[in-house]
Amino acid sequence: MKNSPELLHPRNFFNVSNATRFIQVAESLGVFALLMIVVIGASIVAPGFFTYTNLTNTLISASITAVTGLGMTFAIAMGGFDLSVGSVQVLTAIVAADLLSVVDPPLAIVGALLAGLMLGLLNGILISKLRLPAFVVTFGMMSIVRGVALLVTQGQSVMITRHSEFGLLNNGKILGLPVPLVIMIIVFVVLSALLKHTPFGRHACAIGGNRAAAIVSGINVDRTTIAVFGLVGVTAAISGVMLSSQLMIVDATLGTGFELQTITVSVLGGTSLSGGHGNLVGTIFAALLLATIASALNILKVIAVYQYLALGVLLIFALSIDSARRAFITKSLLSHA
Amino acid sequence: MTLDPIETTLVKGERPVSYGAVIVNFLTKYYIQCLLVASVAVLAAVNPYFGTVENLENILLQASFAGIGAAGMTLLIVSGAFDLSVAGLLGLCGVLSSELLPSLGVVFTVIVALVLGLFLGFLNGLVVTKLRIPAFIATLGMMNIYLALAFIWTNGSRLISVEDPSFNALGTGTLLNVLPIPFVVLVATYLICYVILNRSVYGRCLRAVGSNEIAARTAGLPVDLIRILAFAIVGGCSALAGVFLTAELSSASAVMATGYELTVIAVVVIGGTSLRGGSGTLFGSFAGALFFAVINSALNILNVGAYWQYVVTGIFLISALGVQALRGYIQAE
Amino acid sequence: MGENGAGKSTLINIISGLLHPTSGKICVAGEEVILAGAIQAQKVGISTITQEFNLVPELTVAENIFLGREPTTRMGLLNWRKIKSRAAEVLDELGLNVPLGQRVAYLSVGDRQLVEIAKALSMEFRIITMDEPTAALNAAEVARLFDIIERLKRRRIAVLYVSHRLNEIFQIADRVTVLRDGKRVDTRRLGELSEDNVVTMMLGRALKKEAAIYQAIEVSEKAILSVNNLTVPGFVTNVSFDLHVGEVMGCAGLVGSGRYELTCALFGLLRISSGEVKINGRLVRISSCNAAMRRGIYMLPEERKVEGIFPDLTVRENLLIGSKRLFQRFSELLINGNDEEKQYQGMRKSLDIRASSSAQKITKLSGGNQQKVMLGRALMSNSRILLLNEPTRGVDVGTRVEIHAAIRKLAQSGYAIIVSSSDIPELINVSDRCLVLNAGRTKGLLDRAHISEDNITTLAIGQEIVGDN
Repeated sequence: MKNSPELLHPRNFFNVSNATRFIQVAESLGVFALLMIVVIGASIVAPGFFTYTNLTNTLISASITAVTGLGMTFAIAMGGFDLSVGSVQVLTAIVAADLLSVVDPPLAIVGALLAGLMLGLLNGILISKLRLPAFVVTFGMMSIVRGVALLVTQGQSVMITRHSEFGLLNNGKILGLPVPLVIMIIVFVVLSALLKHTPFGRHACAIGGNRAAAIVSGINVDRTTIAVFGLVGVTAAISGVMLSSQLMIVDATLGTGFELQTITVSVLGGTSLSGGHGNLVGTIFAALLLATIASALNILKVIAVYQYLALGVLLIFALSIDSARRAFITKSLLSHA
Repeated sequence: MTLDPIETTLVKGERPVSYGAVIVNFLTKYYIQCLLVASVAVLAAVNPYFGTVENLENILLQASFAGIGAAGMTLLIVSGAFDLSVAGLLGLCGVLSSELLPSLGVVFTVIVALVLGLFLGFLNGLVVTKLRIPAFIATLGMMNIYLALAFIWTNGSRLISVEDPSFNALGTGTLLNVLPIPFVVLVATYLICYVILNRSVYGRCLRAVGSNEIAARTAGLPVDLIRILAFAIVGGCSALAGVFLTAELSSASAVMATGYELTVIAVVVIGGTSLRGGSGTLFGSFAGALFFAVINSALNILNVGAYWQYVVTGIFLISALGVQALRGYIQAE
Repeated sequence: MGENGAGKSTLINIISGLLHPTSGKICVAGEEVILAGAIQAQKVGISTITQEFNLVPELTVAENIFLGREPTTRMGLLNWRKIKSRAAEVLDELGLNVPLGQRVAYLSVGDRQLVEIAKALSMEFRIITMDEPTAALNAAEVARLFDIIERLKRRRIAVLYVSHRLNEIFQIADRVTVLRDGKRVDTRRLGELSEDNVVTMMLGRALKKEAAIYQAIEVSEKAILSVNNLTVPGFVTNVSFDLHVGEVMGCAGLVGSGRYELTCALFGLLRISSGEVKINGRLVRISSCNAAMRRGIYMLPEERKVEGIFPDLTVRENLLIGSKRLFQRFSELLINGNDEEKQYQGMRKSLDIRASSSAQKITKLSGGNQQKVMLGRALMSNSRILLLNEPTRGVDVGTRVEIHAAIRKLAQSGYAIIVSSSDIPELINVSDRCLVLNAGRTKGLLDRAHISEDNITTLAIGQEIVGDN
């Protein structure tokens, strides 16, 4: 039976899978290729782009976005997402800045991370235990956390005056690489390991891919959900700390539109909104892409507004590709039923 | 295939109900209206300024802006979708109306703004139905685009002042000396939306699409068209709110309505409309808008900072969701 | 084995822990067990393979096999070496040639099923139940599945194989239990039985004396609907028939016969790849629901809960939805309450819908009355050609009779009706002729004289009718 001629029939060579496999590979390569094109284009079009200072700044701003983007990718793989990351980022930045006036940097950082973790866990609990829809809950939290940030600062800016060495988190170098870049790489490695090489990550993907199958397989959906949202909260806090180190003066109006940015880099990087898998490498490339475009536009003195516009258009573009791809897969699977 | 249990022919009879059950029923159905009345009563008793005509008039005025948007949003949520772009849409329409006012005069400005709002809403609908992108993400992206366009038009958040007194009267004037004009428009909007939702063929189709989209397709309903129109209605309502807000503030800017989408959705949710779609209560959204204005007024009077607004709105949204989930539990019993 | 409605799926669901029995016991290895849910059943050693696979498409074969019980190293990371070696073991046992790192999404249906079996095997299950496993497989995959079942048997695993396909049972089974009307008819070793024996056990029963509704009606000569060599890719191949006004044509067939898909295609929900459809002699293209409705065709969906009922709407609204085309005339934008109430009352009387008022929520109605509302909706669409799917599913006995009578009356008043159903007595009650489909093709078209339970079932299973019944 195993080697009967029927089994070797071309029909069994899954034309569908070849096409979709091509699409997947094309995606990972695609963002990278796009990135290369944009970098080359930027170097040509924007004089001063390819300088050491500018490249470093671009890498730094990409890292800040990428860190939370990686967390968001994890959440999307599980089939949910978090609209409150912008508010969490700004609140943790403020927490870090405030704590720095009384304690040493390491403690301040830990405090900020804890704050992010708590907020993320809160999201997770509301979503799983109370069975509330993810986006509305995080939408509400976005507002609450922003409000708390405003209340804590009373509309004033918080300047980091003590411990000016905190700025090294942004300006310093480890092994020749900017610290933010190193942080991003560490986060990438950790999250990659979690997503692909631990039961926790596989369970998260299972929940996003086929929730019923996950439940029947005995996976504790609630616990995994809470943990993933906690993770997103921590990554938002990391980027908040990085932000406060970069600016050294924070206020509650920062970080608006950050959630849009993170979702854009996730989807652009190849992670599908339908859940089940997360493309972490793609997310990093997409973050670099976004930062490159922003940097080039800055050099060309294009006002920030057009960048804003570009971000919106880019998101819609990335999402339509995602939905087109999903439609293509369902259609080709059906016709081969 | 699922196996349906065979049911009996008995018509589900009406059992005689106790008074307690009637009261509980009424409370769960009209909880926001009761909450509104209770809060007004309590606040008026506790704070002398609260119950003054001046303050109440202000509450009616402030409720109108979010309320008008909430009317359209209720219809959209009934159809099963959300629109997070309303803040940008409103800003764009407000800015545009202030620019066009000198040349077009009051009436035509309002009409043009309305048409623009309908068009932008229509655009939102196209993106969601034809590109098949989930509504809240698609509209999040569109929000950026509208906001950016408004920024570009105003060369960067510049405040445009509006000098036309007859236009400004739209925002500050009153009917019968007590009712602010925006409030009158609010009531009119709700009446129109009520008729659309409950008494028109389109409204029935809207509720059907939100109730069971598969069945709607099988019954031959033009689901995409129905959805797109709902988005257009939201756009129109937001534009209307934008015009009146501009009139009241005598100025317009791209960011004049930051956080608008949150308030509007919170109003609808707190009003009792289910996020699942299929049925909605415009009366609830109306009461919800008033309730929010009451709370904001209270916060202002008690000198609680404006920043609490964000926190309060968010907490209300999440608690309202929790209450809805609970009601679902209770009704399922 | 058993025909549709015999209770096979229900029994499997009980054994898998998805449904609870109202009485009786289940014993595994001599000990009684209470199965509160699917997970308890798994703990006891029972695994079920259903049509909707419990696999996560984006995960690989190996990951799916160990989902929920992944072996880990001391550091908490996945122990890939163990996973790969154990998974390879299991797959070797089954003779499955699929690469472990392949995502399940890229596998064919047959391969996915085998991964499910591999999952069950790796969990040391003692009992594996399979519910209609070959419904979506091609011949090669079926052969492979049987090979694997042989291996499972050699591993001393009990396999409970539920099917209505006689030839398969005779190939693979050691013993067969036949169910009929929810009761066990007999359990015998296969060697003692012939195929005819089994068929007799499945069917042979005193036909419940249902009120004979059928009365012959004059059928018009001209065909209102003509279908020629209709093919719906993947579901229906080369089906042809004519339908006349005043006629009720039954459409019989088992799961996978293409019955439902045929009506969907005629209503514009599925794509027709070849063949012609003529209405009143003129060739038509039915590309969408609207196109079908404009040509006078309307379809009642199979599962009203999923595809038919609007749970938030009232009875009247459910009845009249779609009766007015949106924006057809400016004057008809608003609902005219009086008109609609009259329409509702009219339909209520003619179908005898029992609802306390037109404003009652549809979910409060009994299943039978909901179905009547669905039928009413079909009638409100002013279509001459009605395609009714499972018209009395989930309906009580009394209402069932009423619906059947209504169908006959409709035919008499000038409709042309196709009733597609898995309920054979229903088909016998209402059909003038009966089309029987098997695996997407026409197996037979019975005229009134030859319509009988035996004939329909025999054709539906795929056998030929012997003798003159």
